[in-house]
Amino acid sequence: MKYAVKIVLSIWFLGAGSFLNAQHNSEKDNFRMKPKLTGTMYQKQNMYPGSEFLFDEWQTGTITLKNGRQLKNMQLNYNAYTNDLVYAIDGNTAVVVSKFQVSDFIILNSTPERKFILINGDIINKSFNSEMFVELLFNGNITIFANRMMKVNSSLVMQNRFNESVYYLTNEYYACMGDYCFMTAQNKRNFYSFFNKVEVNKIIRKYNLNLKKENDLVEFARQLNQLGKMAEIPRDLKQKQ
Amino acid sequence: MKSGEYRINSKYFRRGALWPLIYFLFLIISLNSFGVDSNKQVIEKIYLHTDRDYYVSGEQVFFKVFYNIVPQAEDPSKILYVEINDLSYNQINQVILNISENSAVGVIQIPDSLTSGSYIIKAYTNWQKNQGNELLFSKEILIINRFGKYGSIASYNQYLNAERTAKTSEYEIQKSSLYSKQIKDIPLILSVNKNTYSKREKVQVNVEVPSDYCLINDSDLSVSVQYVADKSIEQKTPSINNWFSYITEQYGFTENQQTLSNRNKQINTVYPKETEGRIITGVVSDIITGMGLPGALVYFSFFDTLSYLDYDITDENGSFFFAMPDNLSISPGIIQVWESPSGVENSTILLDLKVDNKASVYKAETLTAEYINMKFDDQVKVFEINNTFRTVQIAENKSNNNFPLRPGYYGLNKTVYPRDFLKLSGFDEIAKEILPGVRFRLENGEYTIRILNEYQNAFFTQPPLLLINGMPVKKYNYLAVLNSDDIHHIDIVSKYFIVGSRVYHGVLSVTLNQNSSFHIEESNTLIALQNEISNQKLIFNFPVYDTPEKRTSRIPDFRNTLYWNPEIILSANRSSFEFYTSDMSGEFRITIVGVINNGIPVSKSITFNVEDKY
Repeated sequence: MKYAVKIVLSIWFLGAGSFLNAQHNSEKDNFRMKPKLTGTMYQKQNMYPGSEFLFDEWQTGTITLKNGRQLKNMQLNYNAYTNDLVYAIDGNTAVVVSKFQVSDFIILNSTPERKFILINGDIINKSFNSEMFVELLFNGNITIFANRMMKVNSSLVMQNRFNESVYYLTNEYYACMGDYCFMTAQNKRNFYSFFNKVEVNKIIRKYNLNLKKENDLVEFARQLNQLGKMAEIPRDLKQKQ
Repeated sequence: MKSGEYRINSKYFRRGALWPLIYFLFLIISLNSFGVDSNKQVIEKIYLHTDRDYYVSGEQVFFKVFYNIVPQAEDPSKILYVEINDLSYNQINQVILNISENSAVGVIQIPDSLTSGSYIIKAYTNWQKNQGNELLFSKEILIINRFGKYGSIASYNQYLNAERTAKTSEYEIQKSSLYSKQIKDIPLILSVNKNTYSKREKVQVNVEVPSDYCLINDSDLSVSVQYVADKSIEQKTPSINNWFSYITEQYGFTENQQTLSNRNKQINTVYPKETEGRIITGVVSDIITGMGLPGALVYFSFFDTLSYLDYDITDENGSFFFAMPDNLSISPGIIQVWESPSGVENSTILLDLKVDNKASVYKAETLTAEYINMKFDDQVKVFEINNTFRTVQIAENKSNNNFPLRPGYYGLNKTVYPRDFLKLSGFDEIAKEILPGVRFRLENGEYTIRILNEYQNAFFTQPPLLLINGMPVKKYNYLAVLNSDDIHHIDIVSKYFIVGSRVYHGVLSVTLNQNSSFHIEESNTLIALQNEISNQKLIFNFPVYDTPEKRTSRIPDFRNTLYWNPEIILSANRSSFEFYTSDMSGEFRITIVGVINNGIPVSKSITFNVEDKY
């Protein structure tokens, strides 16, 4: 027992030093020259009931700027109605972040982490000449991402039924191979142009995948990535693009 | 394990003889890990290699800087400062460079107007200033003014009586070990195919690392071949081996240079390491008392068509810090005091000059200007001839900048181009006629601006952030006289605009036409700062005399730098290069300096002669 106490005391000495050192470093991390985000104060643009945000509560996350610098331990949310990243300052003011600065943001509360990247809307034929956030679901030879959009249920609005949320979430799934992207990644036929049809069907059967389900779509992409045999993008698709 | 040994050890433990020792060790480890900031143990070493040791005013100094950080795992500095100072510590010229892969290549211009004499060329990082002045690398160079009175009778008499005034500078530190100590290093083999050459003849040089030294990693070498103008006044510059070894000794690094042991010097971290880009520092002080003013709001912006805004609140010493964003080298940065506890009019701003200019580790031997002029009379003529015939062509290779990343304001509500409307005179008329939601009025002799909050459909009660060409402007008087012709476009943000934790009541951003008369008025509280990170790559193109016609060409070639190549790479322990001698005869010195195996310094110097014949 006496030895145990001595060992605990010794470890405490060591631990205390490490803790204090860590604290010292965290103060340095809070160095004043960290980048500052710019944006405008969030104010809801309509009086409809319900939330425009993807998450019900503020999420802890990291923002990576286009110059590679990071802002950690931010309180973040994603406005899926306006496609904006929003962060909280002082716990009550929400700021819509300038997209000019941001490269991506990661939500750390979720398991696994959820990463949203800023892409040019042109590549998925949306938001021409402007950038938009999409959630990165899988990244390899094949990239799968989801465009999370909060929409307003117009029938509820028309009927003045404002006792319930008028917002509902929709997801569009995209697959990209190289520079070529296509929507409705949930349809296996879209992959036939790039992968051997037999092998695509074999993967779906072997893992019992339903591509309408998001998790299965990600698993499907993972298996295709391991397959590693991707055909050239057909010329007609390139031209279409 | 033998049972006896176990019994002996356990006996000591049982009696408690070792426990105090163990506690003590743990306590030392604990305190050490708290008290010593790991970053403070970082040492940076810099060595600068120039193409020559003497120059004529108006010439450029070509240089390569070798950078080394210990421990190697630490983030290296990205920004390097190279400057020419006179012996009174006045800065003559400065270039700022990016350090890439532990080295930087650049060129610094010597002004035409410099008087003949000794000057100091110095290279350092911001972090190195924490290490103390004596560890900033500096090297003495001689500069000869080409407009000086050389060759006259008067000067000749002065020359005959010239005293070499070996003054001891106050910054001098006599470290004989710097020059004489034999450092055990890798013996670089440097050889030429002949000892004596004629004019315009090819010189073949071989560089080799002995085969018993395994060359595993990259090599990074630079080579210069210069005319030995006057052996008697050769400058004392430590070799790269001696210099790096000296710094290591000063800080008591262990041999593998990974950790500190028995550190001789304590480093106080005052200057941050510029690992990502340039850091701008300065002090806001009271104009009367001279004391630093804590709590002053300082803005940092760029005078350009795209906006960038950063701010800092001064600390207890009145100091502020800004990180210079990448690729913003085109327009001047504007640093201005926006709010101050003493009032802006009673404040003054002083930028940190990056170094207090008292660094050097060499014996400065100041020579009289007359002596230098006489001694280097030929060199001035050589310069004039080379300048006239441009024997050495210097190709400028400007790297392409990426499009500057400028975090602009976001949430624009409207952009108005006055050229789309009838010409309007005066900003009050412009605001009234074509700027919806902007109120610009003259009240009690002062102009006011208010922006309509789009959500509340009411004007903000506070003034907006007014930007003119991206620069925050406090006084609206200038705005009042602007006409449609002066303005390119006007951006309006009708929401609360936020930068960091500062909130603005909308934004009115006026971008002027290029012919506008608006200019930046520097004052005590506003400084325009050029962010000139040099990405110039000047390349020597030497003449090649590979045909009889070229060898007999009547175009004079009096190069005193026969060869300069800052990027020599060893392949399989060896490398070779060649160049041609010029029309100058005499002794020439080949100097090769660099690092191999990712940080081992090497250097070697040999001489050869050029005879006075073709």
